[in-house]
Amino acid sequence: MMFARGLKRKCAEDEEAAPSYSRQRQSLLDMSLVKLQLCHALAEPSLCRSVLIANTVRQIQEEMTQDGAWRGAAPQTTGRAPLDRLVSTDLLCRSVRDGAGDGPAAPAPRGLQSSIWEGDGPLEDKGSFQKSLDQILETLESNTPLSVDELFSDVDSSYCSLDAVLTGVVGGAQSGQDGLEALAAMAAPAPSTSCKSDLGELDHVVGILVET
Amino acid sequence: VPVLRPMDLMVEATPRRVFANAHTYHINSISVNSDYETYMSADDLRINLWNFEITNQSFNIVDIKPANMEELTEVITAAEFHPHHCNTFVYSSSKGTIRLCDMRASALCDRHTKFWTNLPHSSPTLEVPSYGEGVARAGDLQETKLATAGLEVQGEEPGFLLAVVMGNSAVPITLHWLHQEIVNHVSKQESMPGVLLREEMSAEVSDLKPVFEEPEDPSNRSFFSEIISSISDVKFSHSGRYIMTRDYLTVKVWDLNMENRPIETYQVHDYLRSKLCSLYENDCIFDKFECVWNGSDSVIMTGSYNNFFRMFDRNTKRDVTLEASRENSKPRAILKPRKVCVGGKRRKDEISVDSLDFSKKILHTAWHPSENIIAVAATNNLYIFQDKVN
Repeated sequence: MMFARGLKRKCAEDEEAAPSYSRQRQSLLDMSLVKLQLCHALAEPSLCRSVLIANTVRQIQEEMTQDGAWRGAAPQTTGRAPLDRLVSTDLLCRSVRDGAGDGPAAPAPRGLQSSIWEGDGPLEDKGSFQKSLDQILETLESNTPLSVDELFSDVDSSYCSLDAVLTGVVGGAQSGQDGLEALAAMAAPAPSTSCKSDLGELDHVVGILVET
Repeated sequence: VPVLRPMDLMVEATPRRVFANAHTYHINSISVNSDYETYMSADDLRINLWNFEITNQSFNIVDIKPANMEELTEVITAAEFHPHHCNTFVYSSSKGTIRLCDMRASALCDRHTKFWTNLPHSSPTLEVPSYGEGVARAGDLQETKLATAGLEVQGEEPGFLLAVVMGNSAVPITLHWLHQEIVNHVSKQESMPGVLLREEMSAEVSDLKPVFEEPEDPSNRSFFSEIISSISDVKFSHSGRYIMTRDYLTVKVWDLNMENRPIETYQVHDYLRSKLCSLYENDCIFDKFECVWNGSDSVIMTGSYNNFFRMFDRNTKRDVTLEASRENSKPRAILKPRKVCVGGKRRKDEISVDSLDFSKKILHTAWHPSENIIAVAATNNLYIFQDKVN
């Protein structure tokens, strides 16, 4: 708990011993993205949990943007899931603008930072990241409903039709499509009674995210 | 010598009625109304109202689903009806807000309902005897005046009352800073065609937005702030005057009449605050703990990790940590208070934070409505504890 005691650290120590704030932040971002992708694999996927994780990702993204640190395509790193970069938690648990060795302007670690991030055009990558995040949320929504028959057998028809419109379950099968169109179609998922086809779509989503 | 004979647990549950197909998302709460005719069920995005006798139809009363799911940033986490007012309910969210709704104000309660609010005078007299009686839509609101002749309050700053005309009858409204006797007098009236207000008083009716939210302390902000502020449970007190909420690290008590901050905050396991990143990694940070009131609303209880549960006495401000575990307590023995050691030297019988078992979590507890008997669910065991019987 050395930071808690406010001990000053030398720059050299910073690089070796304690991970910098930005490294930890990047680790947190990576971990969060992995969690979002894998939430379908949970026994009980939770919309609340996914929304909270997605909000956390957005927060990190915003802060990175403010710091000028946002350059990399986050989805690139999720496939590799560098969880071994996740280190001691103390730093991240402290308030964001604490003088946790870095200071709000973070001048010293910037040299380190530029080597951490890869990728080109910041805006383009950020856009694709946002799209991937949104797609994850879309597929979350599509995976929670039950099969069509169970869902709408007894329900009052006016309520039923509104909801049918919103979840697009009555929209009809769209399993033949490829690429991003298939992802968009997931917002109006095919009424699927088989888990297998759902999993197939999942693999498709993960594949696209990793390739982005 | 008494012998412990293990028995196989035999439970057979058969559904009496099935209310089907009105929820697209996971149901997190159900709450029976005080009218005993209706109840509500809440999922992540919607709350529906049911009648016990009608199983194939429900009425949607809250819907926070955005038109575009990509814009979703907040979900409903818990909901409960007021114990006495059958039109009032609360629901909590993953962003740490609590919304109080009145079904009479609008059919769909996702708009802010309009209540009486702060008055120019700020002289608190007695506690507000009841809350939210007689609410009307803004358009229907007609201010009338109340006769206060003969209701002089001796020695205190006089309060006053407004009545709202709803349809053909006037409904007395209770407000802040109101004297008990005035309210009692008014509530005996059947109908009031028109009443007089004391000349020197005038009331301003403005919108009270009954959204309860504690402003965030900017110095405490971290990436986990929002997650730990997500409310996992909300419960009205038996009196109906207070709400209790549980978030990841605390239990808070709110006065229904004060929405800008809780009146009491209790730390359940603050030693976890420095471990949030690990708890995020292993998903424990998403655990949803419940909280309960005792029958007299003087003690509150909630669960924690390592099969610990905590009780807070609101009057004495004392708290205790107990353990629900067969290994560590004999049947009929008094539970021994536990203590978590947060740093420095660990005393005997204390448990250090790092040796807590996070897989043993007490999420669900219940307190008998009138007796001191509690039920605690610890993984796959149910413990029932009661006051020591002499």
